[in-house]
Amino acid sequence: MSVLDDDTLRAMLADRADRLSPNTAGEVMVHVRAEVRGPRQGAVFSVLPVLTGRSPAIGAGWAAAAMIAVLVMVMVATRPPVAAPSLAVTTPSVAIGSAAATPLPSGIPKRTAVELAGAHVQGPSINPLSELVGATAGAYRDLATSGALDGGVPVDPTRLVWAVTFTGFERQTIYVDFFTGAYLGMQHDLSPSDPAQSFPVAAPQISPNDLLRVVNDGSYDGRLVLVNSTLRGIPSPVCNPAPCPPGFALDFVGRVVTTPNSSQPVVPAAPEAGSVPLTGTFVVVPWKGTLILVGRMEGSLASPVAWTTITSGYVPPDPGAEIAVQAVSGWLTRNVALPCASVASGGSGCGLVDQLTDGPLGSGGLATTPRVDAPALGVDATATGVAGPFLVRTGTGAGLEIVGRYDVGAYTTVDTPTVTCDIPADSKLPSCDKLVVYALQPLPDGAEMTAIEVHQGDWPCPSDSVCASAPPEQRAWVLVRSTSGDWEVGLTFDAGGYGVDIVQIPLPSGNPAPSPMPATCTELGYGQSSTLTCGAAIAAALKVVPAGTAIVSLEFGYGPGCPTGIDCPDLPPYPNTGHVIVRVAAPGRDLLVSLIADAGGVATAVAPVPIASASPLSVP
Amino acid sequence: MDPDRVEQARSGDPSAFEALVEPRVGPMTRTAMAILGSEADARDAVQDALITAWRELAALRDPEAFDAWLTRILVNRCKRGLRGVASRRVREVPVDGLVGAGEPSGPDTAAASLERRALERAFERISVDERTLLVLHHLDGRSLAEIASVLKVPEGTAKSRLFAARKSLEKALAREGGR
Repeated sequence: MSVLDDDTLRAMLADRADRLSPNTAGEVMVHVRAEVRGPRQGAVFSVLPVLTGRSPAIGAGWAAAAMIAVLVMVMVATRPPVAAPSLAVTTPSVAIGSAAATPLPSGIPKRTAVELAGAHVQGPSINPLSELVGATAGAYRDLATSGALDGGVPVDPTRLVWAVTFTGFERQTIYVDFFTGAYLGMQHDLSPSDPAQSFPVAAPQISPNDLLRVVNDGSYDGRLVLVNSTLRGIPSPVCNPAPCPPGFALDFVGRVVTTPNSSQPVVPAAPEAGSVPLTGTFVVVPWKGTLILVGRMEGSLASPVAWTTITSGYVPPDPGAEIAVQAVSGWLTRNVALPCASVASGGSGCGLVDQLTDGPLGSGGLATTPRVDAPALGVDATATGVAGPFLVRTGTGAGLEIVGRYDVGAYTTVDTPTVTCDIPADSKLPSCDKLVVYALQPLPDGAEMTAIEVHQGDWPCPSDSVCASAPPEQRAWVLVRSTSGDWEVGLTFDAGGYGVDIVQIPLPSGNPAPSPMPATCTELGYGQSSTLTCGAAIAAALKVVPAGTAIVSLEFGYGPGCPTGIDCPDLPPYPNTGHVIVRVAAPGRDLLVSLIADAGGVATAVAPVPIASASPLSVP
Repeated sequence: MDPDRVEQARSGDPSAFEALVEPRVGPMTRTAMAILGSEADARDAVQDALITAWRELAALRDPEAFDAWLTRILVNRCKRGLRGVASRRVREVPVDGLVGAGEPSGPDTAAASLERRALERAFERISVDERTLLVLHHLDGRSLAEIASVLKVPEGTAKSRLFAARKSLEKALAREGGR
């Protein structure tokens, strides 16, 4: 390979740079943008076009003068207001009802839409608990169903910014005019036509103990919770009238019910000895003191599939087969009049049915007739049309069953402790599950377990205890790691497998004081300012890192920062955003936590994204 | 560089800012175009960089550093923009570069054209940081000291990074079958 010469490289770069299209004489594109401060800040806003016109020809051989135009400025109270002159605005027309809801091609970047709408999210007219999850510019297809905003406000789709917020299951869509920054209005209970238009936000994570708390206090009622755990069938509780339906329990969470009307409360529990353990991610919904099991999750909530994907491969399962839940996109139209002629041609019936289609009814495409659970979570029973994505359940023998609408970003995850079992197959000891149950009995209440290891054999039990005289094959020991410290529990059994002794010993490292972790902080340069500080960022990041993570070091930097190939949350712009890379002991398990600070410097972190160790970051 | 004008713009005078950035818009667009390879992305990057500059100008301490500061904002914006398009990048075959009827052509011209396209494909393969260094040095003609100022790294670091970028490009070019 010969050395690349400078002239060739320079010529290629010049050729690449000069590939700009020539600007038409007299035609100047004006990108007008406004930035506002929300009412909470009490500032005023106005619009100022700063620069229009042509730049002189750039470089030899450049075919046409580069144009540019730009600016619309931040007019805050500290800067003198300037009357806005009339503007000749050239923007593409995007019709309301467009299937693509395309962001304006020459218009404002998506993240600026987030900024613009975000200012209003903080306003007094919006629920202060709302969490902004996405915003974009352009037509919004749901407006096709109403033609205008609430109150009949006509909307020019070419100047529309819309943002989606969530508060539990309530969704608000906020509309802002990006030319003037004016707040146009808000609609409830609508969803974007394409889930991909929303920015998926990594779900917050809570502990099993927190889940039990929110179930009992009702603060999560109606919200989706994904629990990574093991489901077991458990003996029926004694009830009247008998017989009771079989019970189910999730390890480290407790009893779950399958119908909202059940009166069985969730009971905090270690794994219960039960039948047919099933491991996976389970969708549950806290509801009036109970935990409703919706089903086992298939696929990813972050990537809803088209409903045609599951229907094409759908085979009605045998009775008793596993109940599966999947997120699917589509539109649900209620009470569609099905012509009776379709009965004669082999249709399933006539009358009023619910239909799931891949677009609004009448826009073409295929339709299917699902069963809609009543009440389906998040689906307004009075609404004619509801945009997805939905949670669809299969495996109940009732075909496709819509059990609720799924809002991207509006769910919570729970990780239960990992259990590793090192008991020989021919051991006479009780099963691993039972050993865990025994071992956890003497532990203090409130201990948040993170990992459990079960072993058979020698264990340095106290010399005066029963276990010291038992042969190794009758002894087991369980290492329990928890947020309250680490413990070893020695279990001794007789020759018949009956337990005869339990010894619980806190490890010397138990309940350790948190040691300071090495942290590196980058600084903003060139006089940039940010409300986000390194300390606040690291503190916020540590809150979302799973408990028990063996952190080696922390690295904070400004800007979104995202390794190549990782689908990171799309955050508003530099400089009030940042990221923390959490380097962990296990190779290949590093985490990236994205953060954003509000005007007061309060940092909010989204759940970590796994990255490969020493991933090169694209850090601004 | 007109420090007085920077001061005026810092105090919120939009006409001063306009006068300040007007002569820089073209070169900025050209730089962004060379890094990003897409006109729409380049124009967005410039627009965004200018807005960021206006927004953050009040915090600029040293008016003399305006150029480097503005370039740094642009470069950072290009990096973010490129990350966003990474997942949808396709390999384009420019038809206008093919030897066609009516064009004076010969073996040498065709070979040079193919070589140029191979080099550009190789350029697309290297990281955005490496692209940026090569553009700043070979297209914009910035010295190592200026690049170091833009990137806010020591001059020695800028030099080693530029060398590494050049090596990466040569490797990528070899994979493209050129040189």
